[in-house]
Amino acid sequence: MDLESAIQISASGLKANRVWINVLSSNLANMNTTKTADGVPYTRKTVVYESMPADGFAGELNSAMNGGAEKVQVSDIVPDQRDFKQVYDPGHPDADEKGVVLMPNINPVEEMANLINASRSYEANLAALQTARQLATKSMEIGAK
Amino acid sequence: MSDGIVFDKTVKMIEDRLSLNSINQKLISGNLANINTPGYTAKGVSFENALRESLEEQVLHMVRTSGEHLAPDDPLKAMQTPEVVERGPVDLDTEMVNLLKNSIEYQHMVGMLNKKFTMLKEAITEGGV
Repeated sequence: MDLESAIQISASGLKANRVWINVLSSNLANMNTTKTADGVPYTRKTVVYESMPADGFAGELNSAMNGGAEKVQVSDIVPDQRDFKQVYDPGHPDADEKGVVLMPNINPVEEMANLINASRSYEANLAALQTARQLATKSMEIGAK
Repeated sequence: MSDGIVFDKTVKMIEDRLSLNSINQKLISGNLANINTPGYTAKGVSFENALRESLEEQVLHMVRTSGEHLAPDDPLKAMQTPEVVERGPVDLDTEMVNLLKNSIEYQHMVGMLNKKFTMLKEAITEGGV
C-alpha cells in the first residue's frame, strides 16, 4: 500500500528533523559552556542525514529495481572540528594564566538559521503526512454514496 | 478487474490513475523527507508518459463485425508501471506544488469514480430510488 509507505516516509522525515532540532537546541543551550565532563569546552554538534529504502524487503527490492522512494534517518551526530573561540576574560574561573578563556565554537546566528531550516523541513513533512492521510480517507469514500 | 458492460474502461483507467497518484504521493514524501540529505536526488513519476502509452494502445484495436469472429484481445491494457525519473536536487516549492496537484487529482478521480457508480445505480434502478 503506497499511501501507507508515504506516511511512514513522512514520519521518518519528522523524526530526523526533530533530532536535528534537539541537537540545535543543545548547541544553543551550551553556547557558553566552558567546561564539560572531558574538561574541554562544549563542542558544537551536527547531524548526518542518510537516505534508506522505504520499507523492509519490498523497499529494498523496489529501490534496487527502479529507484523507489526512500526514507531518511540520522546516521550519526558528529562534533564540529572548528577551533574553540578565545575570549580574554581574566576573571573567569576557567581562564588560563594569560587570562584567555576557551569558549565553544558556536555561532548563534548559524544555529538560528539552521533551526529555521529544520522547522520548515518539519512543516513540509507534516504537510505531506496530512495529505497522505486525507487521500487515504478519501479513498474510503469510493462507492460510499 | 474483468471487462464488461458494468465495469468498463473508465473504472479501470480511474483505478490505474489512483494507483499512480498513490505512488507519486510516496515519492513526494520521500523527497520531502530527504530534503536535507546530501547527494539525494528528487524522484518522480511521469504520469503523462504512462497515460499516453496506455491510451495509444487503445486507439487502434480489432473490431468484430460478426459474432462468429474470434474475440479480439481486450484493447485496454493496464497502465505500465510508471518509470521513476530522477530530477536532481530536491526543490521545496516544486515538491509542495506537486503535493497539492497530486492531492487534487486523487480527490478528483475518487469523485469521478463515484459519479460513474451513481450513473450505474441510476440505470439499474431506472431512475427510481
